[in-house]
Amino acid sequence: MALPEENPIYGPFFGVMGAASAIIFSALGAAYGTAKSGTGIAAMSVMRPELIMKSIIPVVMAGIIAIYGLVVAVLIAGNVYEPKQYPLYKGFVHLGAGLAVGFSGLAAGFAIGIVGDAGVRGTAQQPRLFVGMILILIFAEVLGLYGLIVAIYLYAK
Amino acid sequence: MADAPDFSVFKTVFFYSVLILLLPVFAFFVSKLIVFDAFLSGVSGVSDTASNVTSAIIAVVVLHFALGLFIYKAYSDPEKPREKKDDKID
Repeated sequence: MALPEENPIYGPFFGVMGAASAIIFSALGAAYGTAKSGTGIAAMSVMRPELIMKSIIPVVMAGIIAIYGLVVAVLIAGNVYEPKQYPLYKGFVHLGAGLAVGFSGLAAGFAIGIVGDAGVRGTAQQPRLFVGMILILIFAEVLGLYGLIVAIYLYAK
Repeated sequence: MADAPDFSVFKTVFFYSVLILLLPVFAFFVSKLIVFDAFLSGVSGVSDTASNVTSAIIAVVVLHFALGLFIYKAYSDPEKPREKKDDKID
């Protein structure tokens, strides 16, 4: 009844930790991004309520970071089995995938929050800043997308 | 009178938020369960991992399409008529 050396009892631990860290760190970044740009929107909307529609964009982009983490967490969670069918190698790969998308999402969420806060306040005074804010937000968002790409690539190994 | 534009803005934002949150989830499960697992698995023998990855990529592409729609909508929003009014009120 002893398990082979490649399939230790703690193998799935790494996979489960990968799935958990994917969504935990992505949600951390997304929450920071939402809260930080939310304070900017709240401060800006007092004087310029007609700009709310435009200034919601950082919040939406922060939400997308969490969707990246959700996708990877669902993929990993669907592929974790009991130790007999789950070699340790799989666990390491899944842990790496989860950490890749998790910490990339954390970084991207921080960037979106800070840029969204400053950008929304600035757009209220100079509407032409809007295009620049969108571009910077897209570049911040792409950082999370890179993590997702690496995570999916690792997952497909 | 002042409520009508606010409500229309809420409707627009709500519609796009639901679109962005639900469309990728639908795209993922529809493309996985229906297209890959039901139709293609018998035909071309697509593996489970391959169908997962392809469905995830489809979901992310759909997500960015919806985000692009929202940014386009927000960018092309006029919002001119209310500016003058707000200055005069208080």
